[in-house]
Amino acid sequence: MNSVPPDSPPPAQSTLQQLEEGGALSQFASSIAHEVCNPLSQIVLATDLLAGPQPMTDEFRKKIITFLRQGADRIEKAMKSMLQTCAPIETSMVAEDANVLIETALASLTVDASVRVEKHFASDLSSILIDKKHMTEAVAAIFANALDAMQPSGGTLTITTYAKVFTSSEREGWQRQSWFRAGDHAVVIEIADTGHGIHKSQMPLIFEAFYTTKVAGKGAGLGLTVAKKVVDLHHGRLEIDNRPEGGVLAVLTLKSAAKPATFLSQPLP
Amino acid sequence: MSDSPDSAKKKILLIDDEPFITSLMAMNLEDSGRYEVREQNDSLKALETIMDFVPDLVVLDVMMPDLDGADIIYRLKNDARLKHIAVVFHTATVREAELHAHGGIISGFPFLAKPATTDQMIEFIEKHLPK
Repeated sequence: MNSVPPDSPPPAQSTLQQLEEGGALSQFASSIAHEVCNPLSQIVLATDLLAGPQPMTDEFRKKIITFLRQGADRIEKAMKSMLQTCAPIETSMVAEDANVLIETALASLTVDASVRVEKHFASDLSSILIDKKHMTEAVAAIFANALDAMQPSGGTLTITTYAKVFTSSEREGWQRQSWFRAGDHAVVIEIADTGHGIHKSQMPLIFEAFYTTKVAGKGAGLGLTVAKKVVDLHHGRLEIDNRPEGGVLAVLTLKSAAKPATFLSQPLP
Repeated sequence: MSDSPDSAKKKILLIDDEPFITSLMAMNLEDSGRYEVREQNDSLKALETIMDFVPDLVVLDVMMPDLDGADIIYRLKNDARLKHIAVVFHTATVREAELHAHGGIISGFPFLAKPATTDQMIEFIEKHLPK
């Protein structure tokens, strides 16, 4: 792995700015209200019980105090997550092997024994230019969602990497840096799970801050939001859709830092 | 505060994916001596519980996994056996999209914002219980 002085580093941009640009700020604020008002409700109701006229045992009082602490902890966690989401993402770009990135992200997670992990890694990938810390967290967040979707019954997580050369121009969004042009080299990481899939009505919400289908307190609903922001900052592409055979397929496409080493080492004719 | 005989107690069903909230609400409401309370934290079992418990009033959360409050009320109001049951919302936030979901039907129902104290909740419930 080599440190590469980036020619044109992605600008540090706060997520808040990005949300404003997308017109999603009010939804973000609404989501924060949800994450804070629910545990606040818990605290208010627990206080009412403590202040109420009904006699209570020491054991019951301790249980109510646990409700209070748990509510306060959730608010603290929500506020920390919000600050993390809104903080500018500073990037320090290095060239990295996508397969190493995947292994690092996987190692940061606990994979339940009920899940089988299948890897189909291409060996001739060119390196990708990434902020290692943020992109590892982003990939880990995609893995975590896939793993959670396969609980409690388990399943198979299939990770595939391959090189791609764009044969035609693919424009998405308004940022020219994010467009893939004919001849561009990219590395594609596909992450497939065999979980319950995503309901079509929920599909437009999956990258929305604080949106989650997990049970209360199990996930703040920020993993994919932050992952998408990180991928956008790298001018990459993250697409998520249901697989026809069941489960979800996430496709992460990142521009190559250079042409494959095998290509460069080919002898001249 | 005095305990009413069970037959005089109004039946309140709390549907919210937050078990701590329904548990605390249930304890506070039952302590008032006025209500018989049941909780349901799994939105997919909401209609089944309504049918089984036959509450006088349903206190329904809006944002829940699987079925949200709008989905539940849409199904309830389209079920001849259940459509007479009174429903109010208890929500941390109401989004524009949710307000207009299912033809705006959700906007026709009263809602109480979280956090609400027990006194506020009882006042709200009493106001909207069928007479």
